[in-house]
Amino acid sequence: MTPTRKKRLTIVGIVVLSVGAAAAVALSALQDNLMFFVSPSDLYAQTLPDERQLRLGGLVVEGSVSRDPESMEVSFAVTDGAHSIPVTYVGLLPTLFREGQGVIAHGRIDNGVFQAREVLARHDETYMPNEVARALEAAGTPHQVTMPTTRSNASSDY
Amino acid sequence: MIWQKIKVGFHKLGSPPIFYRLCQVLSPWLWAGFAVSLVIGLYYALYVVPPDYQQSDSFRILYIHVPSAWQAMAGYLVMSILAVIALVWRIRTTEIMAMAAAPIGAAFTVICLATGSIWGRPMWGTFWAWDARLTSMLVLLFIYLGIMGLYAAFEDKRKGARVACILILVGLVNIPIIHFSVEWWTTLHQGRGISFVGESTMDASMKPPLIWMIVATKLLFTAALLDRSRNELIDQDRRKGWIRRKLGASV
Amino acid sequence: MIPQFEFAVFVWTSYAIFAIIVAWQIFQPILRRRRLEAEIREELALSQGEYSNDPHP
Repeated sequence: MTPTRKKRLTIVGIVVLSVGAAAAVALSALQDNLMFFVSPSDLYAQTLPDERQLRLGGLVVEGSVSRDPESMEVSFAVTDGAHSIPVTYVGLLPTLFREGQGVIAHGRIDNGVFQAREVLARHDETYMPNEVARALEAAGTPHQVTMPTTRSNASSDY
Repeated sequence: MIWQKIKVGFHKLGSPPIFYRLCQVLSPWLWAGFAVSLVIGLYYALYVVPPDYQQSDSFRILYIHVPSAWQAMAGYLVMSILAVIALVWRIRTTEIMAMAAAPIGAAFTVICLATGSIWGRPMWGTFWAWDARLTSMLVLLFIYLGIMGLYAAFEDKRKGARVACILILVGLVNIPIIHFSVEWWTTLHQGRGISFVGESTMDASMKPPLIWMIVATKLLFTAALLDRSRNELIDQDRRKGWIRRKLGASV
Repeated sequence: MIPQFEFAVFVWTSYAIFAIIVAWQIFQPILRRRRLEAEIREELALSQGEYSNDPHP
């Protein structure tokens, strides 16, 4: 490689590495803001201010879903295996909302109860036909839905 | 000895008539390969594969969404390699190819964002969310459009290509961000499950159409890249003797 | 012939978007090349003094 080309290659390398370093610094500084949701353990640790609108993500606790027939308010609990937070919501739930499945609620915590104004279903990356899912259940090892971990619950499995 | 041959071949591709001939010869084969793998992939995706236990038939969108997303990123990597060669060696045909790759990559990014959004509505309950994965993919589209716009702004095509190539390399950092976004941060978009070596979270019966569609998108990208590059070369060299002679047959 | 799907409108809209964009990637180079060849033919004819195909004499 000629000296001129070597020089150009060096400049190219410096540009790519500098941009990469700048991005790495910026992104690591912005960590918290880039999280789409926090876990029940994060809320439980009360490291977040009460007034803030935020998103809570976790699994819907089995047997916790109930709908008030008069006010159309739904209540359920969201867990990450370590802690559980009660949630209330008025409105239509997404098609994939069910017990044991992932969910992300957008709202704020009020006296220990999370008032949600939007509820999204969050599914994991598992794809399988009905037969396979049924076979797993019959064998006693039904597929366990997973949610990503955040700092507080990084060590819990669920 | 082999290294010498590679070096000579590499520099030969810089010759416009040789590059033109290569594009002309390879293109029909790539289009044919694309057509075959597309038909097989679509047949498997729509007629053979069973519905998903959770998402039912909506998961078939995956066979369009995932290959397009991967090609949007892979296309950017190819464009980046071309950009490095263009900036270091200043080979005109490489500059042409780098600029030709941008609109194709942008097209795949649009397919990814549109199909992902349509898929999200019934499954998540929303068309869009500003999580790290979706946002960084949208940024990729803006970068692609920026490269195309920047190149178009220059009278001098060679200079325009070089400036756009610098932009390509600046935007390169976005690719690992997109890839690792579901690992580094919590997102609405699900995590990485499909891998070709080792464990996958996708049932084996559902994989074949994905493989065919991935092959199809690679072939489409390459075929379109060669066709667009050849056209750009014709455009730039329209007054040169070799083009007049080449096209003399058809003109 | 056409399979019956749950969420059919979502699936078919996605596949349609794919089809339209892929079709454009196939046809854009063909259309552009035709235009380029016509332009070069035009220039060649003008430079050789061949005005017989002049549309506005």
